[in-house]
Amino acid sequence: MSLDVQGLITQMLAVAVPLLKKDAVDAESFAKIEFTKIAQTIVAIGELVATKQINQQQSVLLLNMQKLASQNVLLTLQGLGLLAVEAAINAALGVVKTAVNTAIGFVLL
Amino acid sequence: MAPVVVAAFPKSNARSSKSIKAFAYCESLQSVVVCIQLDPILGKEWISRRAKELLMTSFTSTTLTTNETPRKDSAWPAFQILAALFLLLTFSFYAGCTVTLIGDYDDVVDKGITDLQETAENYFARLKSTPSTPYDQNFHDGIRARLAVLKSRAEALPKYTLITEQIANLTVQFTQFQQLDQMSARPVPIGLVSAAESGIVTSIESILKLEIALKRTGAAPSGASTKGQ
Repeated sequence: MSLDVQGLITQMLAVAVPLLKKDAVDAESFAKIEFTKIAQTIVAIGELVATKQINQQQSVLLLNMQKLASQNVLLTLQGLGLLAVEAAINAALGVVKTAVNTAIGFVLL
Repeated sequence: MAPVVVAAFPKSNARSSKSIKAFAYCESLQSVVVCIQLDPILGKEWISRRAKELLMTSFTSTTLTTNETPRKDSAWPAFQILAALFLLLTFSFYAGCTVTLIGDYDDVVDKGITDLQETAENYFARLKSTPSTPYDQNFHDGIRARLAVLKSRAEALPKYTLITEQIANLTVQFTQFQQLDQMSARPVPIGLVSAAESGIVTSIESILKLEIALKRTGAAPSGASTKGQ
């Protein structure tokens, strides 16, 4: 059997890195949309306070709701990150599997 | 995989202590292979733990049952073969059973959150179109009950801590909205309703975004490019 470590690394990276990059772009666009919405709402709350449409107690509750919304966005990003890593690992292992089987000459893995 | 390992260490050779050791390792590896085959039934965490236990038991028992002093010259090649097999099987364990870092898609959570959004959006729409709409305790009670059910569901699912936490945050948001709804004089300022709605909708969309991503439709194909080295 002839397995080239450097070759395996190259193959694994070739599969894993584009996946991670693609998922990072998707996550970024999601974060951008949601954080823009939260920022706009915070500005709106400020305007409601300034025009005395809501009192301090109401503004605190509304701001807390935005904080929790931000936390939920971040939790989603964390989950998307885990999914991206998971897909990259599985893709990289998929390449190792095939390379090892081919080098050995029979289906071992 | 198991027949390959068995073929490497046939029973007829299992006479010397070296062979006994080899055969014991072989048996433990076979057990690991059986565990891997049981994967869809028992789940990966159990498999991983059980496989480790089997290997450790085997290593310990062979150390206890063989009295022969290790001989570097003769024992080394056998050890090398065993190590190589072990490494290959370890690889196969990871390659055969795909790595899972976060739970799977759950239809009940997806539909539950979507239904919840529909109910909430109806209430927000009512408050915005008719700001004199009175405070509705039934709406808040209903939302709280549904969120409690969804949280229990999420807690029961494996690797669902993120979505469980998100549902807990959403529950707090609805509690805060209930306080706002209760304390606000009628007609309710539309801006207040919109701000509350925005926070809640952002959370709901975040949960749904993650939940739908758990379908793993974009998962990488395993064994994409292949020609060996």
